[in-house]
Amino acid sequence: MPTEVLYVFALYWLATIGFTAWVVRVNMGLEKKLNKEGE
Amino acid sequence: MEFREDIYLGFTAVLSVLASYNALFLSPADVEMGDLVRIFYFHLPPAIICYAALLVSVATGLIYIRTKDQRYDAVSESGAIIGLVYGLVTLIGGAVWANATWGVYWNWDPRETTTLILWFAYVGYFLLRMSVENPERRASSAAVFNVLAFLTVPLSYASFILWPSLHPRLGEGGGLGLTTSMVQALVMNIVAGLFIFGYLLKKTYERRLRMDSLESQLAEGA
Repeated sequence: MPTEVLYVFALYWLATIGFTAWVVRVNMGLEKKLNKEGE
Repeated sequence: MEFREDIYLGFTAVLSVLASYNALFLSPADVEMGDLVRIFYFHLPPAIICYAALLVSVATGLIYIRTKDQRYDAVSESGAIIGLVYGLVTLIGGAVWANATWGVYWNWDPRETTTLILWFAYVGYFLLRMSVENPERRASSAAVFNVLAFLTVPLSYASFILWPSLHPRLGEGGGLGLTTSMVQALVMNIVAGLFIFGYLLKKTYERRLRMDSLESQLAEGA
């Protein structure tokens, strides 16, 4: 398997997993803050 | 019927693993490009996610102009964030593929150049959003700018028809003549990518709504 294939595969999936993790984490943080503000 | 996020995410994960396995190990090598053709299965899905996200962004931006409903601006902003991320993935992945096939990462090919212009147009969109404080004015000016920025999407898509380009075209001699199993691998990866896009759009939209709620709570408390 050419390494270029693995580079592009890794780029696509690292970006997808990284972006998903970031947005889920930010949502959780905002939810926590909202609950704190609501109390 | 209630939307089950865990089932959606589980299905997307299984489909993505199967699609990647098919692309890496099951689909055949190309007659001309050999195994390098497999890059295509991880290069086209982010490009389609980018185009789809920007289409959603401009469409909801236009609805915002008509309705002045901030929820449409929230979807529009979310689509643009996803478009920007996957536009960058497409540009970098394309450069790696270009180096493997043409021997150079970047050669100002019409497809490369117009996609770079597209990406910078949406960087401009976020710079504009950051520079306007009033939420209504920010949403309106961003929606108008979005319409102009979106003109770069059909330009990027049709660039290799408008100008001479080295970028491979599907089903043409000297380009990518895909066999049935190659098309199957490609479709699986595109569908998996669109499911990922759906999830990311929902999450980025929720993020924006929560940010708006927090801001209004803080404003009420002040």
